Order: sequence, then C-alpha cells, then structure tokens
Amino acid sequence: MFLRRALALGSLLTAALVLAVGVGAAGVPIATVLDVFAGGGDATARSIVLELRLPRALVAILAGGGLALSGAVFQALLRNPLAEPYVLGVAGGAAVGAVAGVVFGVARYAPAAVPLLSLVGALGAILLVFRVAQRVGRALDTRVLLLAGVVVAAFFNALILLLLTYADVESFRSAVFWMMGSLSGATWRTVVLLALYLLPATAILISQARPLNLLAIGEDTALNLGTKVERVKVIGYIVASLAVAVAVATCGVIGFIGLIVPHAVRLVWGSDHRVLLPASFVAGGVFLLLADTTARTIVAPAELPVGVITALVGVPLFVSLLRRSAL
Amino acid sequence: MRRLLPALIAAALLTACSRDESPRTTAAPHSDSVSVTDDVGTVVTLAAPAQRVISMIPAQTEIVKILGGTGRLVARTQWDKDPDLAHLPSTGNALSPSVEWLVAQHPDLVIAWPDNDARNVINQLRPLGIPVYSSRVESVAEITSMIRRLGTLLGEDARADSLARTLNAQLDSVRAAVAGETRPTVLYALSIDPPMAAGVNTFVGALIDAAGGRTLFEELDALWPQVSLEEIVRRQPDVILLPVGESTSGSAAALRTRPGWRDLKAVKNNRVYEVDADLFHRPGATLGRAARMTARLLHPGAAHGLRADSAAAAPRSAPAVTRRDSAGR
Repeated sequence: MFLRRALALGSLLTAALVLAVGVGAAGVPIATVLDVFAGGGDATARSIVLELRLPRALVAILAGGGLALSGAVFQALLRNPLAEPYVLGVAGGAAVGAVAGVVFGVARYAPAAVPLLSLVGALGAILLVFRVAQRVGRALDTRVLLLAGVVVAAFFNALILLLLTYADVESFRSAVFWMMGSLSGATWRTVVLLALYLLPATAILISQARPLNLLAIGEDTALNLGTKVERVKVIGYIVASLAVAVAVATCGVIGFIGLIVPHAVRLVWGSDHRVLLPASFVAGGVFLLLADTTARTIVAPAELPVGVITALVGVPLFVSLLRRSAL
Repeated sequence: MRRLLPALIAAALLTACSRDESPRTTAAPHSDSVSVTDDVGTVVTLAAPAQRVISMIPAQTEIVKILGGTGRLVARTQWDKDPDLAHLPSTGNALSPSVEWLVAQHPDLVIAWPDNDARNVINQLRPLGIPVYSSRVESVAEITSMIRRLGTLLGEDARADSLARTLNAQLDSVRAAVAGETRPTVLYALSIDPPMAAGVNTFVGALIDAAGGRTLFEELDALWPQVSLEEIVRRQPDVILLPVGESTSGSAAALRTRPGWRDLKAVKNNRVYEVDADLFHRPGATLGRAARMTARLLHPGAAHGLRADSAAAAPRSAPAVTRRDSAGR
C-alpha cells in the first residue's frame, strides 16, 4: 500500500519534472534537452535548460510542496477545513515588507533586498500573531490564534493599501505583480535558499504526524493519550509559518495550493497524517510545477501569473474530486 | 524549538547576504568594446556595438530604430505598432516576458524597465552574459542623455548626438513660439476615475512647460499623483488633455456627462483635447512632436506657424521620425 502510493507520487513527480524541463517558450527540441543533461548542447540551450528551466522547476516543487504541507498542518492544528497557509497573516506581513521595498524604491537599487524585506515582514507577522494569541489566552488557544491571524492580516492589508496610495504607476505595477506571485525570478540561489529551510521544516512537520492524528480527534483526547499538546501546537505553527514565510518571500503570494491540495489528498487517501503530510508535499510540488509550466507556455513568449492557473485549473479539479467522493 | 527559530533567522540572513555574486562582465578589454552607465547606475559593457537588440520599452525601440535601423532589432513588444517592425517576433506585453525566449533570440543588448519584474528578468539575463540597459527617464535632459548613451552602445554616437540636438532644437522652437503668451493651467488626466494627473516632474510635465502651459498640480512632487476631483473643480484647469489609446478608457465625450467633470469650465468651453497616448507616453524621439501638438492646442494663435519653423530647425542628418501624425485609437 505504502509502496504503491510512494511509487505513484514518485512517477507523477518525475513525469512533471521531465515535462517542465522539456517544454518552454524557446522551443528547445527534446533531443537537445537530453543532450544538455548528457553534458552537450550549445551554450544557449545549456543556459535555457540548466540556468532557467531546471532551477525554476525545483523552486516550484519546493514552494508548492511547502505551501501544501503547511496548509495540511494548519488545517489539523486549527481543526478548520478553511485554514490555509496564509490564514495566520504570514502573507500579509510578507506583502507589507515587499510592497514597502518596492514603493520606497529599495527594489530599484537593491532588488535582492526585496525577498529579505518580505521575509522580515513575514517573521514580524508570525511574532505579532503569537504575541496577541499568547497574551489573551494563557495557553495557545487555537480559536484565539485564528482570530489573531485574521485581524493581523486585515491590519496588514490596510497597510498595503496605504503604501500603494503613495506608489507611482511603475511601483504600483511591481507591487501588484509581486502580490500575484510568480516563479519567474527563480535562480539556483533561490533553490538553495528554499531547500535550506523547507527540507528540514518538512522533516520536522512530518515527524509530528502521529500527535497531529491525535490532536485532530480533540485536544482533550490527545492530552489524555499522553500527547504534549502545547509542544505539538507550537512546533507545528512556527515551523509551518516559517516554511510559508520563505515560500512567500521568494515567490510572492501564490494562492490556493495550500487550501486544496491537502483536501484533495485527504479525499483520495484519507486523513492519516502519516500519509497526508508527505503526500501533500509531493502533490503540492507537482501541482505548482504543472501550473507554472502552463503559466509560462500558454501565452508564450509572455507569461501569466501562476496564481491564475492554480485557481482556474485547481477549482474545477477539486470540485470534480469532491463530487466523486460525495457520491 | 526555542533555539531553532533564531538559528533559522540567522541562516536566512546569512544565505541572503553572503552569496551576493555581482554579475561580472568577463569580456576582456577589446578595441571595439563600448561601455556606458544605464539610467539606474549600472555599468553596461558590450564587446562590440550592439547588433541584435531587444527593447521592451516602446520609446527606446523607436530610438534604436532611428539610430541603428530596423535591422538591429530582433524582437518587438505588442505596443510597437510601427509597420516596419511588424515582421519581428513579439514578446507580448513585455511586463512578464519569458526569459528563456529572450535568451533564445541571441540578443547582444536588452533594454528593460528597471522595476521589479523586469529586475527578475535582468537578474537572470546578466549572469547568462546578456547585457541589459535599464531605462527610466523623465526630464528632457535625461531623455537626451539616454539617447546619447544608447547611441554609444550602438556605435552610432554621431547620429545620437544629432537626434538629441534635433529634440532640443524642436523644444526650443516650441518655447520660442509661445514665449510671452499667458500660460494656461493644464490638467493632463492620465486617468479619470480615480483622477490621476501628470506631475510636473514627468516628461509630460516637461512638454506642457515647453508648450507654454502650467501643470495644474505643479506643487506636487509625485510623478503621477492621484488627486481629488474636488480639488480639480476648485482649481478649474484652463485646458484638459486626455490621452487616448488602447490602455486608457476616458474620452472627451464621457467627461461631458460625468458629475463634477461636466461642470468644469474647460469642459464647457470645449477645451478638452484627446491626445494620442502612444505619442505622449513615450519619453523619446517623438517628444518634440508631442510638444508641438500641445503648443498648438494651448496657443492656437501663437503656435500656428510652428510646423514649418521646427522642420527648418532640424539638422539634415537626423532621420525623420516615421510615425503617423494623428494615430487615434
């Protein structure tokens, strides 16, 4: 059972990766692509395949996986099917950082600072939400946390609108583009940065699968069965929030993956977190990779914002899954 | 866990800062090599004058065409309507172009917006050895300087100098023609809802000034400030210029029915003029023509004989700008 699922996900991932590296606006023949991986090919083909397509594909897998996994963890911790990676205000904080960078002209002179600013914003949001939640309730009450996340997000939203009123046309466009999310800036550096965070974060989150299973039944039950509930909650929130912060800082706000991928996996394979968490990571990676491949080829040589594809394709897909499972 | 968070943050800062490999141009000093500083301060060095240019900004596309000929351009954007460029492959709207597609065209110079999205493009092209000139210009001095620097990159310094001089001469002749006239206040309405005006620091502000007008919100520093309709009504602009093109939505007729706008004196006195957005929104070679047109709208009497004057002022060597004079929508 486990082997079959792992095999299914693995081959899906491989197929998506081959497709993503094989197709693109430049129309490099597949023979040339293979040649590049064998160490041949001309300089242009090598640049396109090794410096542009491959890092972008890996960023899609990592970011998509991180978002879907975090979504699954938030849904379990908050025991709310509507929970998604941005529910605790991480995206809002990241957006404030990035938009401030764009509007105040930092982006123009030090573009590398924008992801850093958005990371700072995201970390600030995480900290703020936790402070609010902890001050109100002594222990970490999930309902208070959820509310804190929602109000902090609303506050950041207002800040973004305030910043945008001071933006000139060019910055306005940049900021809005940033908030739509895109993988077009992916480089090997982005891959390293994402892998450095997301792989350990993924390992930590997956290691919490068993206590999350108990927590999903109810906090009291979990407590009675010997789970250190507070510890699981804090680890879950912080590690998942950090994963989201890094994904948002490098790729902008890519919506929808963190909401539907975990639900889709649950519909197919049930809600045992030992399966759900790793499967969500891989499925999220595959989904974002395919969405991004579509986004960069469908209107070539221009590109669509990837968030358009994740929602346009994701919703019908999800609805059909939902109907099939309900029948 | 308590120890993990600071460690992660520290690692974030480290990876973000330490690996700042600035793109190096590895081309050895070459006798043909040309080098300029672009509009945002980056040094752009080419081993030889550019022969395969991709410009993602229409004004700069026109300049490259004038200085180096159509043959130097290998792609266009959907905004470049010039029939001479119609045969070139299009990058689309150029706001989010496919980088691999750009690379596959083998450009030896890319001209891009310096804003963030283009920055992503720029950050990917430069490490691949493709030089990028980031262009952002507002004042007339910046425009002529940009023309000269593009001329250097194309190995066409003399033509660039002549084009820059022509532009200045055209603006001077416009200024001379309207000198001594009373200067009407002009609202250049980039957008009607919400109202957005051309600021005094934009090239549109510069051409309104040259054409003998005053920008309505001349005390504001913002390039394209969003302003309140109330304030427009209070200030009562003498003239409203309305850019019309495919990316704008307003029309002079629509103003006559809109509350607030319909009561403006400029609207009642028929002093709302639609102008070609393609012509007015390109800070480049066509600025002189746009200024001349503006002067004729602001000072119909004084600017009457302007066309003949400026044609005489243009040096013979400068190729004429080949665009239709009144390309409407």
